Amino acid sequence: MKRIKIALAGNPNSGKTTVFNSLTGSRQHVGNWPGVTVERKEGKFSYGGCEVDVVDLPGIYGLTAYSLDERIARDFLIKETPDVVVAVIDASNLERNLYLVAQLLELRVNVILDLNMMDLVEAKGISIDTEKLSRVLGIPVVKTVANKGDGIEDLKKAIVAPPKRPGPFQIDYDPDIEAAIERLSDTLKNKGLPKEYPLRWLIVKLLEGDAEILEKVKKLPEGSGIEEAVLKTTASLERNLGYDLETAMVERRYGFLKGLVRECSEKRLGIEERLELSDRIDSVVTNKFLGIPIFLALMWLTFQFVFALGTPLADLIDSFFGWLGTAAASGLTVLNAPGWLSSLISDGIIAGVGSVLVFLPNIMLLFLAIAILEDSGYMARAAFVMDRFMHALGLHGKSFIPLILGFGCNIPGIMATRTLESRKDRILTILVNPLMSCSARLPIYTLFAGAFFSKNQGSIIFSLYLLGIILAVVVARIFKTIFFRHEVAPLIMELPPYRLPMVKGVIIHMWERGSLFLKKAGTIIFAGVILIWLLASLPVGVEYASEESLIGRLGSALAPVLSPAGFGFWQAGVALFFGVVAKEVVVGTLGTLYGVEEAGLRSALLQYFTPLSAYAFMVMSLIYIPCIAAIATIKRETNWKWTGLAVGYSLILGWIVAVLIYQIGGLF
Amino acid sequence: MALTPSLEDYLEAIWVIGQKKRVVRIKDIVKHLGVKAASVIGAMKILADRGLVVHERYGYVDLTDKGVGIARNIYHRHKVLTKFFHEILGVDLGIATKDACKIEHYIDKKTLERIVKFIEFIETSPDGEPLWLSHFYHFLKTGRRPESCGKRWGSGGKMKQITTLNKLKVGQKGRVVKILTSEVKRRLLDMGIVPGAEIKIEKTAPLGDPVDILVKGYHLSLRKEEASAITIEVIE
Repeated sequence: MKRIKIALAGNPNSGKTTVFNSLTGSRQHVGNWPGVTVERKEGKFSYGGCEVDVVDLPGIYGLTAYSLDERIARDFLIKETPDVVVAVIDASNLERNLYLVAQLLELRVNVILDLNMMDLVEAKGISIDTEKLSRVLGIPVVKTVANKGDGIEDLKKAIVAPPKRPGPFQIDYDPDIEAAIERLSDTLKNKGLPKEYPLRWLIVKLLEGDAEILEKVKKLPEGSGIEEAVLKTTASLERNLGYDLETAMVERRYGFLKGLVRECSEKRLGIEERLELSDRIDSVVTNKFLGIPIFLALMWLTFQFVFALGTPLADLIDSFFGWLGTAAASGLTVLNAPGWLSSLISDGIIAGVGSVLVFLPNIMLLFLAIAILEDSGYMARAAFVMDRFMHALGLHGKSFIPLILGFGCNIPGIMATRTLESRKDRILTILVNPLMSCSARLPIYTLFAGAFFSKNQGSIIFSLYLLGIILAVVVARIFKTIFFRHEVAPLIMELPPYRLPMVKGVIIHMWERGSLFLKKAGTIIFAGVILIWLLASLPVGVEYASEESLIGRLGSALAPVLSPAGFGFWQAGVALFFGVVAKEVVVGTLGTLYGVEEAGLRSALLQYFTPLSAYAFMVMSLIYIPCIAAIATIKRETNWKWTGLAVGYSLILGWIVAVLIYQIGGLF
Repeated sequence: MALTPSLEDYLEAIWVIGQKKRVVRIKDIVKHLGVKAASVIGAMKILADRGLVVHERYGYVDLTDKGVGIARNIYHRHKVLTKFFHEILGVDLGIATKDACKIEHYIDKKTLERIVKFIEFIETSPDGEPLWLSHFYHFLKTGRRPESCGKRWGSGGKMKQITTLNKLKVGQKGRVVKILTSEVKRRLLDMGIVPGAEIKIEKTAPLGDPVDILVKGYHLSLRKEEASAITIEVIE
């Protein structure tokens, strides 16, 4: 069977993902692009005796090396040379969508133009002369309505048809520019320019001042000569043009497309008409007065959806594994299995699997909610509404949602940063996310606040949430200056027309991202739980998690370090160790260590803690090390370096703040 | 060899007097420059030695052809500088003349040429005194820009207003003139914000920033920071 490789390219919101889903159905999987955490979707389909591998490129507007997504797409097209590139465009907004197509053609790849969302166009009584479009651009043109599956058959047919090298299409720049391109082609022909790029494209990019290409050329043996020739040409062209060459070239490109669109579509739609419904929705949703209340209401709904709906399910899973653990332990005892084995199975393996799966309902619901917010077009509005506020904190409008979700659980919070385009915003939002006091910390707060501050329990707990937020703001600012001082993260964001999310698309989206969490983060969580189990069970023969176990010894070793914070005893150290598995485990561990049930724990604590050291302990629990699942998720979304920083800074910060509180509080 | 400033002054004086009178006498020069007769006689001797002046009997002096060339050149500089200081920058005539008298000896030909061009550019403005210049005078007087600043008369006689995108109000439309060089320039260009493109300010976000604009048939949101890099001609 013949195998061909194709790529899907297109603007965000052009329906590219829908086309991808219609082409490949369920035969797809998601991974990451090498070295970066940008999703790489691949799929397969067979048609007409051909096995077709489909790669879904990130949604992009151009092929400049401006953003990570654009660089990924460009590198893929140049290095992996797909046989065909399907350019999916929103036919109801031809001009801007064709801009990317023009760039693809300049790169001399085999393009098939997919005019998607044709139903929207036809509903307005507009016709597009596809034959003319095909003739002028020299490429096959197919009409589709991907969300209804219309035209997908034609698209498949076009894909497997023998590819034609793109015709002689090229954008005709200014005569002066064309003359300069020709002159430069002659000069640069034999200068050992990288062969994988078409010469004309390379020269166009050099004239546009493309930083990445310029950098590549400079490294050539004759690089400085080439650079000089280019700079000279640019300068002389700019003198005649009266403004800069980059602007001039983009302008010509758009100029060409404007003409083309005018020629090929009969009646052009006024923008007001095209966006009628969407604009009407927006007049409410991003309204001056209603915008923020609506945003907050939707956030509340999302929060409720993810946690109120998910947590009972999570509890169910939790108690199931609790039951399974106990059952297994007693079963093994009946079978006279050695104690360590039954402990390994119940406390280690079953608890480990349980602590991964317990996140599943929240994660799945989160991704369902995010998929709906994104596909409907609301996500961009949320960023639009909140950007002023978040930008003041050094973050991006879209950072708000991950942070809010962090109050429920940091794992979905961290996963939700995928909606952020800039690496800087993503990393900063991830790093501060664990400071959002997640629901797993609430049992610790309730226990201590109940025991020591029973009269104003509410305000004490509230102060902890507030402290987390304040620290997040401060930490974000500090990290921004340290690590991203020179990075600008502008907000130049399309507000796409509102669309009804498609059930199939949303479900696929949810499933892919959710299962990815299970696979990648799951292993680390599992390994972490086993590690803690080992520490608590070794050396052989000790009572689980007693003072003599490794973890108990670590706790004792830690006690002097913790004593300036007011809780320098080994039980506190061990509890904090176990808290790394999941923060709420701190409560259970303290119970076990003091040998009391949860009810008796309060009075036990009163013997060891003062109100001040209890508060310091709560602060420590809030800040120190994200739980294993959060660490694993941070690793999954970034790399070990950032993960190390997240662990390290929180540990140090937690200690410092706890010590400060205990020491300063002791003065009064 | 170059002439000293004072010798250049003498040549210039002879030429200026010569324009008014048929003949130039030593005492005319004494009166014109306010110096002593002996100094004038001494200077004439040097200039005569250089072949720039012919010193005739009866106290008459005349410029040689070479002398006329130099004198005319200096006088031209004097006129240009005086005009520039007085008429364009608005400095008092007395000060302008005095400064011109000093600078004329030292100014480089290239600089002078540029000033001449500059004056010519202003004087040939089709609508009389350019608006920006009157704004400058207003600025000199009041220390503030006039209210109408930023507006100018276009060829069609219609009011054209040039500003940046962040200054446009909700509902206003503009046409892109240029995009200032910045980190985001290329992104803005790729998104269709190219010279000539029409932009309408649709709304601002509830907290006042960013703005939502319509361009090339779609909605785009930008922070005002980014919008300030876009020069716009207001169309309505």
